Amino acid sequence: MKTTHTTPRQVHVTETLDVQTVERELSRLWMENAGRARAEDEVEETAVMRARVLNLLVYVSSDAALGEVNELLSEVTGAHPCRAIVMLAEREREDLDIEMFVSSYCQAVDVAEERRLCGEQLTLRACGRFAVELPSAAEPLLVPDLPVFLWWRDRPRLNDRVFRKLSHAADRVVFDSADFLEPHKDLLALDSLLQKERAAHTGISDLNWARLTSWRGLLASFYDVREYRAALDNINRVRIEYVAPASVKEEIAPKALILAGWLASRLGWRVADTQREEKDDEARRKVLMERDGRKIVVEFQSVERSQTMNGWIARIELSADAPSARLLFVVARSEDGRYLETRTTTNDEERASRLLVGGDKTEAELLGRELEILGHDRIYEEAVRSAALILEALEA
Amino acid sequence: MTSPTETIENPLRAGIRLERTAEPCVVTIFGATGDLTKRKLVPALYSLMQQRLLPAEFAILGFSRPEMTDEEFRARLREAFMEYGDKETFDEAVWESFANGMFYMSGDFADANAFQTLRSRLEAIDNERGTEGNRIFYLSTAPSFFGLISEQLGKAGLNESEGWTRIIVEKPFGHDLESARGLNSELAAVFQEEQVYRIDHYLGKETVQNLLVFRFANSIFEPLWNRQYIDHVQITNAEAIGVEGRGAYYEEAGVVRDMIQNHVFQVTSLIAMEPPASLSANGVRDEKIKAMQAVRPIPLKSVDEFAVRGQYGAGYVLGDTVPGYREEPGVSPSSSTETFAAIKLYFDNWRWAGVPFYIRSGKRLPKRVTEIAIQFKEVPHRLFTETDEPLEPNVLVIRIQPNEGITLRFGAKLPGQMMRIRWVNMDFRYGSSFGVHTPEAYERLLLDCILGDSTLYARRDMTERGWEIVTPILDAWKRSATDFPNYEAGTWGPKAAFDLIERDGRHWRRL
Repeated sequence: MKTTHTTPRQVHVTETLDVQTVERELSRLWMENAGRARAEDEVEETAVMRARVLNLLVYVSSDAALGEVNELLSEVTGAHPCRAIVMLAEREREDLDIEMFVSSYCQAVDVAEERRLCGEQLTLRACGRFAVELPSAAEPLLVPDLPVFLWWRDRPRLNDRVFRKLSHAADRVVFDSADFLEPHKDLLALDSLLQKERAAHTGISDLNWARLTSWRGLLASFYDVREYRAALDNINRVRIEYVAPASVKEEIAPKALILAGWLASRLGWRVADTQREEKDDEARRKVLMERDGRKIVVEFQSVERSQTMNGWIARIELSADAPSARLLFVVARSEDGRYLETRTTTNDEERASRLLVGGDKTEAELLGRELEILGHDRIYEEAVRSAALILEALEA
Repeated sequence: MTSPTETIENPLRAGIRLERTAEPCVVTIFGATGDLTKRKLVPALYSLMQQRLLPAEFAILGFSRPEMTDEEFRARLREAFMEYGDKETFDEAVWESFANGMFYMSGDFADANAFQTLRSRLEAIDNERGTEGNRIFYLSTAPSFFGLISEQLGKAGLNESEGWTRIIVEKPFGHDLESARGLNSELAAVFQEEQVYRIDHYLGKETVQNLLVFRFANSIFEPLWNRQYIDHVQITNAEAIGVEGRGAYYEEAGVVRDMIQNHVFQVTSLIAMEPPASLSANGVRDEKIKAMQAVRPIPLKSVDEFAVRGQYGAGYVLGDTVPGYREEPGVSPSSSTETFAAIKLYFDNWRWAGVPFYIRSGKRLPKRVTEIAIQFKEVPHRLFTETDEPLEPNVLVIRIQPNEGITLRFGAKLPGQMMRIRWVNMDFRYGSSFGVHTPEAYERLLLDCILGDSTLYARRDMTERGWEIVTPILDAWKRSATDFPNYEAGTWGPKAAFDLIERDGRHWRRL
């Protein structure tokens, strides 16, 4: 369904925000929308339905990102009509006090019945030192009694004042650990944030974790097979091949660390010891883990792929020496990124394999999915905890 | 709804926001060269595989009379997918990988040796594909073969295996009560009831499943869901199409056999049932059958008071001139088969005493629509007397197709000095609210069967109860003469259908 946006209209903002002025502007906008819809359709009864099922706070730091967000919101708001409050904070620019724009977006729900489902967007822009005032301007504009989602569409700045203020106002924070500028340091910061938030009401969504869902599903599916289930207790080696993150090529992609952390936390593995490979092979790393005296080697290997795949998982191998057989489970992404292949080998003999379309969901699809969830994702929190322990062991 | 697969402990499954995934298995399709396999089954299985809901250890074995190699079978299904499947999701390499698990054997349903060969083939596939002896037999054949195939499977020892064995039976399930009971007995002689999955694709529709959620996950509706507040219920199942080349089949069936005794009654039972104690397959189906057992029997001599039949003549539908039923290919020029029926049912139980359920279903009606309308009682005292406009009752409409959704109609004051009331609809639309792919009915039902969840399949008692309710109607109609054709194509059925509801002081909804 096509979404149409109205041209954003600037609202005069006094030094202290007047919420009533904003609401009045929105009411005017809605009356105009209804009038325009009637005129366009030449139908007296055209209905404009103003729908809001959530508040969506969005944080961006550049004009380019604002443009991308507007595009993405067109896709997302069809399924999640909301009041979107988009904050553009250009911190490096010259000081500029908050500017505000209001606009609406509509989607024809049913052409035959001339109904339009509409939501509204408030855009706040501030530069320089005024950027820190954005949370205090956005918060009063939230629609009461609706859940609040914060989509931090910028490099996650987990200790940043604006981030902290906005995340405290939100029921759920959505960010993307693929955007970490310093993956290792930021992952450790994420772990401490999650530990702090554990008792708080704010849930955390990581789009990078959402992208791992299909990998997790495929790995889990190996053990849905009765015959292989016992192998979970006999895994002795995990090898994760990843494409290095764009930001710091020498560091392990957060996705690879979180995937290893997920396996470790689900299967009850603890870090036992770490071993580095030779110095001339910096990208190759190993961690020794254990459970009930059984050793498991977790190995990370950087591989080359096209730039569009930076930070992606390329392949994962789980090896198990079960009493009856030697088992190898592999999920691999094709070189062009288009397919995922799963393969099971017993005593070097291939048992079952399949090829699946492996493209990731779009950012809008991932975000849309996260907007359906409130509350904590304990599995993610535990995966990040284990990932942080693995990382600490690697860096020890 | 839980299933055995979901309860198996796999620590890696915890918290995965994925749909349910299935155990390894092989699906044997009898009648694999038929239309259903091409149009529905293979596209549904391919889609499930694309959504990663099927395991790598999965196979399809086609069983039919024509001679064909595995390769020819695969090529045939590929061609069919390109014609009937969703081409946008097609990927050559993925299809190749999927097709590696497709096999074919030719055989005659009457030949016991063919079933021994089938047994060997299945054992070989178990070894080759790791399908662990889990088997589904899908009877996609003419109903006359259901009993025979079931018997042959039993004789070949294929009604049980090292894993699990299930059998899916397509509709129509019998031609009348006697034949339905006969078929059930034939199946019961070989399979346990828990192994039998009688498909009713209506139950696979998302909105039908939503009825359970709507009724039992919302506390605001259930207190109103009874004779105290509901005046009556209308269930409409209208098709704009005619018999579409199935004249010969339809001549033997008619709308009561084809739609009402199965699909429409399934939906009716979901509206009328009591809250189940659990969402287990039998928890839900026990309550559905309990509700249908409360349907007041229609006495043979009073059928005309409770049921109306019709047959369309030539007319205009959706801007086209269309022939009458008797002019359709394969239809007798003096046919007395009904293409429309309206029935009034009462449920003699605590919840529904005195609340009529009006059901209508027909072909060549003005448009395709399936909906349930719950009409609430009028307010007890008329407060707004400034105008003579009648107060309309509140209506809750659950629309199953098209534009699946739920609408609540209520009165609101028109802006202005006058106290005038305008009736407005509050809409919830599936498509626009969730904007996600809703699975095809066959996808849902096939996956449910693989998962061992029979909630959305018809149980033996329900199929027989459907026939019990309509038997007096069919018997009475068989004995009396018709005035067919008695409604013009593109209209809402014969005048008698309007009389049926209007003599109770009510009206069919204008759709």
